[in-house]
Amino acid sequence: VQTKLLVAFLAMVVLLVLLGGMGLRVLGGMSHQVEELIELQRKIAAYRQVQHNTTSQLYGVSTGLLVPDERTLDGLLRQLSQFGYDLDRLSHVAQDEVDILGQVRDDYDRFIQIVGEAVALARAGHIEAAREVQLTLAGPLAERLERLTNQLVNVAEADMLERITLSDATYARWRTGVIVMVLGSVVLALGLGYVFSWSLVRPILRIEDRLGKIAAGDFSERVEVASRDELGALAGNVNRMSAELDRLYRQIAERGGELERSVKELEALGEVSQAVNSSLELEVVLETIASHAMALASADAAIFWSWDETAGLFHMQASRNLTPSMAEALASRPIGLGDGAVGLAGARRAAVQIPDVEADPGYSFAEIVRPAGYRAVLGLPLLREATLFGGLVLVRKTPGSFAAETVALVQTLANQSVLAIQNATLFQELAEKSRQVEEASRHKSEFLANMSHELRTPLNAILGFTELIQDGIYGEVNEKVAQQLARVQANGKHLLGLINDVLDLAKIEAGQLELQQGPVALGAAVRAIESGTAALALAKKLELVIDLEPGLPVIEGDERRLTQVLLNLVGNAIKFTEKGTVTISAKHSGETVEIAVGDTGPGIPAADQERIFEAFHQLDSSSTRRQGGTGLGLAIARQIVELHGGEIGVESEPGRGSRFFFTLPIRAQRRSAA
Amino acid sequence: MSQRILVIEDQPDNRTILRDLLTAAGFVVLEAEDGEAGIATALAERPDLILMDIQMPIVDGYAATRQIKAAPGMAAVPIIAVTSHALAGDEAKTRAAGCDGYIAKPFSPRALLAEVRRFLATGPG
Repeated sequence: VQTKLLVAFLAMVVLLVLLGGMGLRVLGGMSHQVEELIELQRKIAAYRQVQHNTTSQLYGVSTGLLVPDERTLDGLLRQLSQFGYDLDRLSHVAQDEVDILGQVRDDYDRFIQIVGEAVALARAGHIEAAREVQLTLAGPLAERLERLTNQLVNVAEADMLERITLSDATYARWRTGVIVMVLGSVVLALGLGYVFSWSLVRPILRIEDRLGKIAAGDFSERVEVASRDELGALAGNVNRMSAELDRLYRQIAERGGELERSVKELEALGEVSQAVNSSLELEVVLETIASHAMALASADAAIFWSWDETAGLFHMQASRNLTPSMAEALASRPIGLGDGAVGLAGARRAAVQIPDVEADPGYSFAEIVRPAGYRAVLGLPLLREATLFGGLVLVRKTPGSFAAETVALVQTLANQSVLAIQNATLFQELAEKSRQVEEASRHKSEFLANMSHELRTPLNAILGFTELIQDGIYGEVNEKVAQQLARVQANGKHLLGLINDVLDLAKIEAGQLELQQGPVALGAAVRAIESGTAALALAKKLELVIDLEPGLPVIEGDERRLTQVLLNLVGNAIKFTEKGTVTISAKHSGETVEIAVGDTGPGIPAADQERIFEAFHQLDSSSTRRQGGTGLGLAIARQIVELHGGEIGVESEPGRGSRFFFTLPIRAQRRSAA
Repeated sequence: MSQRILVIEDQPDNRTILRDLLTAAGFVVLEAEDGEAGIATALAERPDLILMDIQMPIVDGYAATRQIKAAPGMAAVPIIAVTSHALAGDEAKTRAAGCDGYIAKPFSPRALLAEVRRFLATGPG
């Protein structure tokens, strides 16, 4: 730009200098012409002087000859020499007319000679002779001189005229020249200004336009500025900036795309993982995985195959977007290891790609895949610890390989599906087990109810007739018969107890037992047990000790069920103790009461202390036979205590007796029977 | 005149126990072997009290009780369910069907006799 500005201004300056030079030259020319004119003027004056001198010379000569005194003659001669000076001076002035001047000089020399002769003659007194000389010689010569000088004057005047004309012409020419030059300068200056301003403004406008587009995010074009000045450099920088921004934008967009892909992948994994964890419906999970795998791999359809190890065949388990005809075609064809994409993937335990089914003569399923318009196939094995579970096949309508990272990602999803398949299988097994258990439980309940009913009916006859006989309805009963009847009745009642225990337990296990809550005075309950069991203890010669803490609180609970628990524990203690004491104690601390039944019986090994609270667990089956009892009492006791929100336990050592205890909250915890 | 008690019971031994017990106690015992016969006898004989088994062929005790109680003039006749359905909720079911009393099998004849006397002394409770 600077150069351009300098060039422009230099051009202007050169024009001005040219103009100035031209003016100076014109002025110089004019001045020279004026000098020449002055010179000519002088020359003309000189010529005129010569002319005048010549005339006055002639006149002087004539006069001198007429009056030939000495003074006149001297004057004449002085005049002649004066004329010689004038001529001499003339010779300096008029060099142009040298020829004429030469003639004038020659004529003048002769004239002087003649005049001198005439003067000499006159002085000699030969006036006539002098006059004769003057007339014959000086007169024509003077005329000639006069004519010559006239000629000189004419020539000089013509010369001057010519010079003046010439000067006018020169002036006119220079004037035109200057005007043309000035106009040219103006036009040139304006032109330069215009061109120069445009040469500045246009690139700036282009650059501005480009910058505007860059600001709007359009990096596609370059700004073209041909010049190599600062603007060219600016444009170059703008282009470089644009290119760099473009590159950065692309990079950012690429990164953004990568990030978006990563997010999508993570989302897909997350959703698949969630589906695997939240849904045990295998179809739902597999369809979720299939749709995500399709989205990630840009596939058009997906098929899940399960591997049947025993049959050595793959079975279609789920599919997505599969045309019915293709599904049918696939189903009608047994697929083993090595068959199709899934078979190959299963056989190789690795992903298998068929980039273009039409270009792969080795792909045996082309005639099934091709009609549906699929070109590329990706087969993935479903593996877990090298065990084949099945395969996932993705198909795409555009031919070409699936990218390695896509394959890896889809393989991750496929691995999730293995988990889902395992989960679903386990869940199905679990559900089946649970259903079986439930059914078994229902059967058990029904069985128990039926058994209860069917046992009670004959038992009713046994106990009923026994009582009728005992009451003498069928006649007198002797002592011996009465004793045996009592045994029949006792066994019948034991049987009834068994039935009731079994039903209790069944009800408790079925969650059907409900406590009849109410205030329970433990002291009174213990006393009732004491009076109920005293006879039994006495029969075995056992001491029955009651140890009640004074001020036992009244608790809330099911009195009948709690009495059942206590009766069971005291009954057991009496039953298993051969000698010594059975102690019933009760105390309270804080919000709980503890009731304990101690004995001096054989004790219970530590290993059995927990098992005895399970149903049908007396120490050994022989003891059941020996000691009687249903083996259900402790199990029922534990359930009842726990229903009250308490705990039951035993402290015992073999040979040192046992101490069974249970705790109860003073304020009942309303717990459901579950 | 001695009071009449209708025993509706399909099981012969249990019928015998009730017959022997009640006859010995001085009641007149009417018998029916199933629900349908029981209803017919009840409506025909209008006993003072009915002992009703529940699980019976043809018409069970629940249906028989409902029909007898619905018959004109029969609502005041006490019906005591005597049943092997001795599980929780079984008594409530017999009450819902219209029974006035409930005795679970196996029953003590003495206790049953006491219950019968109580009903006949005070009317249906």
